[in-house]
Amino acid sequence: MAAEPIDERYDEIVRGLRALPSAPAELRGRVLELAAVADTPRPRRRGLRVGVVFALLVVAAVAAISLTSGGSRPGQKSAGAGGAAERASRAATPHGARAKPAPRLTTLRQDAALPITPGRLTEVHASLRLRVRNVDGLSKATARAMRITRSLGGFVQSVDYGTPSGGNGDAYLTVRVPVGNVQKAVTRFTALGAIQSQHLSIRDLQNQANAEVLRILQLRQLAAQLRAKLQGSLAPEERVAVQARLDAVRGLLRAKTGQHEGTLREGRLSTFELELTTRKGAAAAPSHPGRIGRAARHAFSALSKTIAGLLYVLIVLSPLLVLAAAVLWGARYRRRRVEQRLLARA
Amino acid sequence: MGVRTGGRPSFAAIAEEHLDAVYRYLLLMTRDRVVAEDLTGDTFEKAFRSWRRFDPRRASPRTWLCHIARNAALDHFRSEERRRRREAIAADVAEAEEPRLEGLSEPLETAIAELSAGEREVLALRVLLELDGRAAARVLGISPTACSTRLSRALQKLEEKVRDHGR
Repeated sequence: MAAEPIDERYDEIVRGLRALPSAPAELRGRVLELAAVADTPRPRRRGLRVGVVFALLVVAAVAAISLTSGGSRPGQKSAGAGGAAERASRAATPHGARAKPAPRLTTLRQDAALPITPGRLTEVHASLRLRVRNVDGLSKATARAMRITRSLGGFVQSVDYGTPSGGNGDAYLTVRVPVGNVQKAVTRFTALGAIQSQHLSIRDLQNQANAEVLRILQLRQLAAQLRAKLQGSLAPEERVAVQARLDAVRGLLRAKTGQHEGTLREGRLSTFELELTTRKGAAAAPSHPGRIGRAARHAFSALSKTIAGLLYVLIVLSPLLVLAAAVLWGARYRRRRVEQRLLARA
Repeated sequence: MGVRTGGRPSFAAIAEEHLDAVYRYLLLMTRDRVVAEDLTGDTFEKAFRSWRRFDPRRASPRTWLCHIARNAALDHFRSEERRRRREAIAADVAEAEEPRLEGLSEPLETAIAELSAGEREVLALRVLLELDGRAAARVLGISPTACSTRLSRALQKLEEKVRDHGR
């Protein structure tokens, strides 16, 4: 500590003040005895540090798990997750037939295996926006799309072809292709032009169909029981009531049978909505970002959420912080004033 | 004694080095040898208790000890004031005899007795403990400029009073 010189005019006073005596030996002995105790090594409190390290590890693990679980690939990996959910739901419901799984969304890729289980009824809905070179190409691609559909055992539900102006044109096709040929259809449709946008929705209908069959069987059984009852001897009022119930069951049976036929139809034929265009549009985003891309996306997402949270907290707390700072400053100022007055009086 | 533990001086080394400074600071503040001894003991006990929290990067050991000693002195003045107030209300008590400060000339001692504790404090920090203006200002909780002004006034006042009593 570099001592700043005191004004030379006060040298005599300074010398006089510095003549004040040192600490008495008794006090020195007492203080040094205390100091000796202070420097005795004590066992370090490792528990707290270990606890802090453990807590940090737990937080890091939770963060890592949440990031990795949120980073499942929408295509094949989500199909696996869907399978697990399906298994769980099957185990939880009788006959494995009550659960209605949500549709899985995925993007199309020629070489990627679609998560469709052969032999199971599956609802597939795909939409593709493809760019062709010119109007001539549009015409050829439209005709080819229809040929592909037929060759795959499907049919064209609707076609809307037009070349309104400026050498541009569009064709909208809705085609139905057997679910067993969806993979081939994807491969061949995507070869018609440059993919501009794509979307595929897959929903397993097997459980729904099983449940419908079960319900139909129950209704048939009930109808048979009611018919048998009507053949026996019944009071007129009771006969009317049983007949009414039988009519209701038959109506329900018809509805359920119709619904089941619709489910079977949906589960056997996929729907493709093709939009062929000559117009330039935004290029389709890469369908499957790599591991690094996913990690970067999740990291960015987590970071932006954290920043948003911090900003929120800051905005909410800033008036309170300003108030707290003012109160602290006021208390400190008051304490200093009180101390000064006390020292002035002493 | 001077053993270093964990890259900082040992408590014993600090106590040895700064004991006199703390004692003289408290002696000048209180002008009572017995009180100064008690407060010095208290100061080092408090320092011992908070030794693990002491961070040499934030303040020098002397400044840190001064803070503790100052708080001890302020506590003493507060309790003294309360005691005097109680006694003034309860009965007329004869004024206690002023203690004498050993080692000082009579005019200087008389002049010091006429200064306030605040004035004595700035003298103690800057003259006895030889703290620089910034460190002394930190202990006092004022700006370095205010500290410098306060020191000049205290020295001037002390010189005038010494001159008056020396005649």
